[in-house]
Amino acid sequence: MQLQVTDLGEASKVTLEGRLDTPGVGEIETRFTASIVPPGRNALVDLSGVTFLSSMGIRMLLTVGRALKGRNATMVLFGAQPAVFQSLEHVGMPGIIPLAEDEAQALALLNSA
Amino acid sequence: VRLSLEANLEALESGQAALASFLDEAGASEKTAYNASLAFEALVSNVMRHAYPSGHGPIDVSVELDGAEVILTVEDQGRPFNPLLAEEPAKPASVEEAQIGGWGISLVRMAATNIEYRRIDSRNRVRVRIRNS
Repeated sequence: MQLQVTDLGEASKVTLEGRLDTPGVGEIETRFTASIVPPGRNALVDLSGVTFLSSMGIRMLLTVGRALKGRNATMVLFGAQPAVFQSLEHVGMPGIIPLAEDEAQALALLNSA
Repeated sequence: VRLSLEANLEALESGQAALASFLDEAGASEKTAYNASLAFEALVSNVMRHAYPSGHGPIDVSVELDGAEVILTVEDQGRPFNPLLAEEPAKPASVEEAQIGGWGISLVRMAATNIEYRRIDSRNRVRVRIRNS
């Protein structure tokens, strides 16, 4: 599981690549949380390279999304592949953490929030 | 394919690799393999968390591709644990109210056409059927 953080000026972008399952979450959760929550800035999470999402991955995304909201900032997910999107939709994620098709739409969602 | 695993993180990883390899060679679709992987992760994680509170114990997994469906069976010798009794989490109204964890069996219900649990001779057995589409 790979994680890369990019400073977009108005927000941070975190790009995830690989399987977001129990081992994958174990590898990146501390860095993922540390790169998003303490700065308290809006964050985009690029899921286009995530090939698998299990319950553990959902837990990680919800935990960080909630913590960021507690700091009055927003996390937007974008680029989910169809199978990953299906799981996000199943757990009701689109209603509580914004989901965008691509980075441009994710930035537009942040600017309208 | 039959896998004899130990309840630990490495086994979860090697089991996933063996499952993917078997389903690829057997001609399962990408979607079917994804759904089987989702079920494998949820069921094996549940055994590690609930059936073996000590964190150790054997897990036997078998996977068959029977024409139109994959049959995934996970058995353990731990304490009785029926994952089907887990309440389906409610769809959250806000991120503050969302149930953070415990979505595993809910995802299996989404991915599978049928799930059954039996307690046989001091063993838990969960069998999941996934349509090969």
